[in-house]
Amino acid sequence: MSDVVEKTLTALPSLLSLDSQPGAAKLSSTSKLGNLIRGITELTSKHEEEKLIHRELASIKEQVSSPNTSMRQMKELMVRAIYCESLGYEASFSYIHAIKLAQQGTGLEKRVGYLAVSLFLNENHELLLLLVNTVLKDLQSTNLIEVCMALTVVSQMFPKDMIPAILPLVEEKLNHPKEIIRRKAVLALYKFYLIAPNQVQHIHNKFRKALCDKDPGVMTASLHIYLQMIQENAEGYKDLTASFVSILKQVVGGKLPIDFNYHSVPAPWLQIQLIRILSLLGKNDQRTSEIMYEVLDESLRRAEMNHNITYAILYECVKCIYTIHPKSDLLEKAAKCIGNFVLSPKINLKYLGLKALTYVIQQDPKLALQHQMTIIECLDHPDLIIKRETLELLFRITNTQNVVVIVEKMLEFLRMSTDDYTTIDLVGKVAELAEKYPSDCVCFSYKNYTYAPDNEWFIETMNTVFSLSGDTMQPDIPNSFLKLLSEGFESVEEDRKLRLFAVDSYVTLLKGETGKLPQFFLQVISWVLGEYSHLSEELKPATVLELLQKLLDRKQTSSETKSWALMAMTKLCEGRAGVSVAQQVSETYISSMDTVLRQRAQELQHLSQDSELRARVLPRDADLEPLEVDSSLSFLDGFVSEALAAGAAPYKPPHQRQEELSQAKVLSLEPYGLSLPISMSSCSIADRQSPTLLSMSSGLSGDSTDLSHKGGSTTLKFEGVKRVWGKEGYLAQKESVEEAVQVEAPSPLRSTSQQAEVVGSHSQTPTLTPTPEPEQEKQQLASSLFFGISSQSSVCLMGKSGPTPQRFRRKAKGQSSSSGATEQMSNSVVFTSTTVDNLLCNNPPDSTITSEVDVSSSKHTSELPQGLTAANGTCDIEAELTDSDLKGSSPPLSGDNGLENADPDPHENLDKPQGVCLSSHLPAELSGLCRSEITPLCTLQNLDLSACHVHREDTIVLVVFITNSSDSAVQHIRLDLDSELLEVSCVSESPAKDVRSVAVYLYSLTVRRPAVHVELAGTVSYQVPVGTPQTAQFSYKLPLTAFIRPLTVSTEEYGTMWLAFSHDTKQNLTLINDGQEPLVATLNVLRKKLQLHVVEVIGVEGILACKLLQDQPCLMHFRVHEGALAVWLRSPVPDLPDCLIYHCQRALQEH
Amino acid sequence: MIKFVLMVNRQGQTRLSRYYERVEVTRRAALEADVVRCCLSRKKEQCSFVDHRDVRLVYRQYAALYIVVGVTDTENELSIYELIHNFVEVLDKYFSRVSELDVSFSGRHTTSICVVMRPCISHTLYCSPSDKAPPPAIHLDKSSAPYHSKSSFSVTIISTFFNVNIILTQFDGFRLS
Repeated sequence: MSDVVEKTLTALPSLLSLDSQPGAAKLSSTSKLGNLIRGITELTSKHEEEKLIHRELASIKEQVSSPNTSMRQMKELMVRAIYCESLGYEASFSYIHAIKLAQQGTGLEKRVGYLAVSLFLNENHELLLLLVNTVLKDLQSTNLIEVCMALTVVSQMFPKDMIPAILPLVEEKLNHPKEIIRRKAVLALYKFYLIAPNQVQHIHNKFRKALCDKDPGVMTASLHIYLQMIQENAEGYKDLTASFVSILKQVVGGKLPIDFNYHSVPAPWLQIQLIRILSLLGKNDQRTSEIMYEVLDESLRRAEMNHNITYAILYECVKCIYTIHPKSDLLEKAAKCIGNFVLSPKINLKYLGLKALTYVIQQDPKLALQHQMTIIECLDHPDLIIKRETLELLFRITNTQNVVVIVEKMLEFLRMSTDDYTTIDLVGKVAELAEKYPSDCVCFSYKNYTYAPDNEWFIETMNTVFSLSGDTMQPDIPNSFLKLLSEGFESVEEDRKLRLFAVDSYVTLLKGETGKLPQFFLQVISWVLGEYSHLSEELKPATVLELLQKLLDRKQTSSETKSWALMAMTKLCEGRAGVSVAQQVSETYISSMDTVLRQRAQELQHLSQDSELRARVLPRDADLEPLEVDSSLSFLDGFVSEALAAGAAPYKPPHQRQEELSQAKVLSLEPYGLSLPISMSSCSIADRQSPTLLSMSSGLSGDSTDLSHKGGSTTLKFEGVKRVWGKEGYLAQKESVEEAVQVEAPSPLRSTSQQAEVVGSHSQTPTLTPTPEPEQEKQQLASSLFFGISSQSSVCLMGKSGPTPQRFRRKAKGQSSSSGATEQMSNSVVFTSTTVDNLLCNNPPDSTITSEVDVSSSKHTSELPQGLTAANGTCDIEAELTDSDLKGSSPPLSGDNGLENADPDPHENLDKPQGVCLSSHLPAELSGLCRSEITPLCTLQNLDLSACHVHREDTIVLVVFITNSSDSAVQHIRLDLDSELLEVSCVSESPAKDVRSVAVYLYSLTVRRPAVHVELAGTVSYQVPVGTPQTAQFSYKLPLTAFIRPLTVSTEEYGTMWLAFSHDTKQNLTLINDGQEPLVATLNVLRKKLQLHVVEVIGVEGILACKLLQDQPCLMHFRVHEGALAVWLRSPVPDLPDCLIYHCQRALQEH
Repeated sequence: MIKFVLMVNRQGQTRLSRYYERVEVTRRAALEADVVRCCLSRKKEQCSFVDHRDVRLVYRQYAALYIVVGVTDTENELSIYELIHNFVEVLDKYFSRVSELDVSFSGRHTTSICVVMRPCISHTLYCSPSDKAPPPAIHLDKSSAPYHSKSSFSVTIISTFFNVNIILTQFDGFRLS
């Protein structure tokens, strides 16, 4: 380290001498800032300060724009500008000068320039583009300081589009002899990884080198990248576990230089970082967890010093221990740690202890019992943050038995809370709890308390929630509440009671003072009264109408609430009295300025007069049949075409309009070549910006509506709708409930003996000591809070949804269904598959069968859609080859035709004959199509699983082969596939019963969210006649290219689509030079490997199009520039361009 | 993740701010005022962590100066709490002339150090008070900006963030030397 300092210091004298020149100018400049500061401190009012700063800014502005200002003065001006900005006054005029200073200044001036840039600008600021050249120049500088400055600014902000321009230079710095530079380079790459992960994908092995760097600083920097990457994909880095463990061991053992110590704790923040990484790696993975037990134990032991920072490390350790695969003695130690935290008199530690407990309780709710008295104390703690953390903890341990008490505590807190943000958060939680438990009418009494989370409780709790939350509530809470009311629970009678109770309580509320009720609540009330007030026999519609009318007349009622009330009235206006009220009200509002209100008033007027129509439009007790919504608005097509015929301009989505507007003004964002020459040639090229101009002209000349473009935009909108509302209703709500259920379940991993032990030791705690009066009260509270958790009580065992019975149930269900499926197995399939099997497995080919196979496969080949065959010529030829091979009676070789080109991932070595056998089991309609190699998935005692994917024109079909390799029959085979990124739907299952036969499962796959590779996780379970059921897990990975199909569009269509798409990526690729015209050669390679459609090639530019199944287009624009290929991709789907760029790179590298 | 670092005095004036997330200049003043109110209203016996909207604030008081760090709620609060102290120790060391608490812990030319600190704790601030040799991270910073030379620049930047009352004397002192 010291030699660096020396080196850098020797580079400095010139700067220093420049800098330390005493002179009048300097003195006056420093005192200028001094004067400013002095001036500001002397002022008394904010107004005067404002005036002074504006004067100051004006003078700075004048000076910076003057051509005579030297760099030195500029530097001083920048400092003043920074000061003004830090006081909250914008000095945006100085931004450009900061960049100029960084560009033109030397040494210190440059440094100030960079500093100002990093303080002034943000990631998306357009001026940042101007910095690129400077950074590029400084990176190439021989002056270490300049390189450092450039790397520092890069690691803070850099325009995403320009990364390719400097990436090679930064990469090169990874090998720099100076550790400072290496470290800064790693941090710069970390930044790149954060903003554009796909662009640094190729340097992953260099990160590994950085991790092994001899300088601890560089290693530490690389941990940031690893933490990020492991968070995204822990599976990919399991092999590094041992390295992280050994690093942590060295750190804990004090092997780092003493410089890294903080209060004689070795590199605490580094330790915390490492433990976090380990906990991510060891999650749900016993093998990996085992590697780290020792070092965690060591960390726990070493951190027994009495200092805050060691507590911070302990906290991280505890979290880790409870995250990874459990080990009993570590758990014990961790639990002890938590105990120490929670009981500590130091408030900060108590807080941390509660936080740890909240986290741990998800895995082991028993621990809450041990600390129940502390938790009760914290519940009444004067410090609000402690209180809130405790509520958070209770929220996690809620069950049917304690929900009433916990909700009561939360509402208590809500009444006191003044902070909007807390209120919103807590209201959401209470609503979630209340909605989770109302149906479980488990009544039980404990001592003097009777808690029954029933209808009344539910409605009353929601009433409190609504009235407390004010208007800050998230709109999905009333939505889901109403949904719950309308859908009801299991029993019809219960539903009726619930609704009736709601109606009654709302009528009472409306009769009282309504002034304080929030609008949301009034809307809910209106709806419920409109829908269900008929349930109440003594309540007359006229009374309700009167109440609603009163609501309408109030001044505070918002117009949205008024329209809810009007809608409710529409449902209720029955009888003569009702009609007259309705007429009266509708007359008032029919001339309202608010169009929605006017609309509702019109509806009310018409429907109140025509009772038949009303009964049809608003049927009472409608069975909630899902309404079909035509989201594409196709019923408007006629209207649109008429309007277009009459000369109206075609509709353009907002982002397109904006883009066209900005086109004229904004800087060209197209990347220049690597060397960024500022020359005439590049200017002229940038001017041409082909796709945009081309499409603009085509958009003007072409006919008004473009089909494919329209299709694209409607699907986009539809997606947005789908995310929130599904067929079953509100989706997010369901997910959150499911999550909460999972949270509630204690870790199934803990061994039973251990659980019993914990129970044994804790269950006695509350009863052991005799306690004074107030204590008893607390204990009672405690017992009501923690009731469901103590497993001594039989009631609670019944009420609790433990993981074990649930699991058992699920398994049993699966078995019964799969056994049903086995029985349904069709004979014919088995027959054909076994014959073909025999045929191809070294049996002499029977001529008749051969020809049959032959015919079927060739027929299917000819049926191949035109687009696919044309795009993938090799596939076609090889399919033919297969046929001739079959004829030539060399079956063992034939099945494995070289279609790997569809899948660039070379898989592990295959058992060739087996592959051949399996391929023959492919269903006839798939046999001629392009497919990947058959890869073994997993091997069990009795079963071998293999899979491949077959490319059809409109889908990808995943074929899973299950071979019974043993001599005993296997039953109840059940296969479950799941993936975050893919939608998996089962096409067909043909289970095999016989020994040594093959079962084939077909699944069709669609991409939900694009990623470079998409992975499927699967579980197979089966049973042998004598023995226990067995399960195994496997995964299957497909490249995104498998889902890519050519998209045939014309150049005009391409142009229009180009403008409509919002997600884009740009990058430079290498050209292929093998004799032909480079652009054509490269495009041909890409077309073949990725299945693209070449729309048109003009001179040095080419445009291509493809789609992601189903119908998610991506457009590509290629241009040869300075010996490289500049690519620009656009798509309506986020991430798709990035992923495709990656595959383009791969395809060209492999070529 | 660290979202921002603030140094404010008891009067609620911001001495230094560094944001790692985009916050408009015009919105900063309001945010800082809220944050300061949040922290100043707390008593000694209350814990050093407090929520402000979706940001968790970790603060530490040094005489009249508060250092407040805004973090996400996945962060280990206690480690941030100690990071603040580490930061202050580094400042103290960096400007080795200072001994009094008041003076040493008032804001100094900390921007550039903050620049090195990033949203995730980088290795920047390792420094133990017992070391004779200045810690590596600070070297780095010095090497890229030689402020220790008491050049005019260091004075200007430093003075920007001085605690009001001490600034001027300090400032004059620098100028005289």
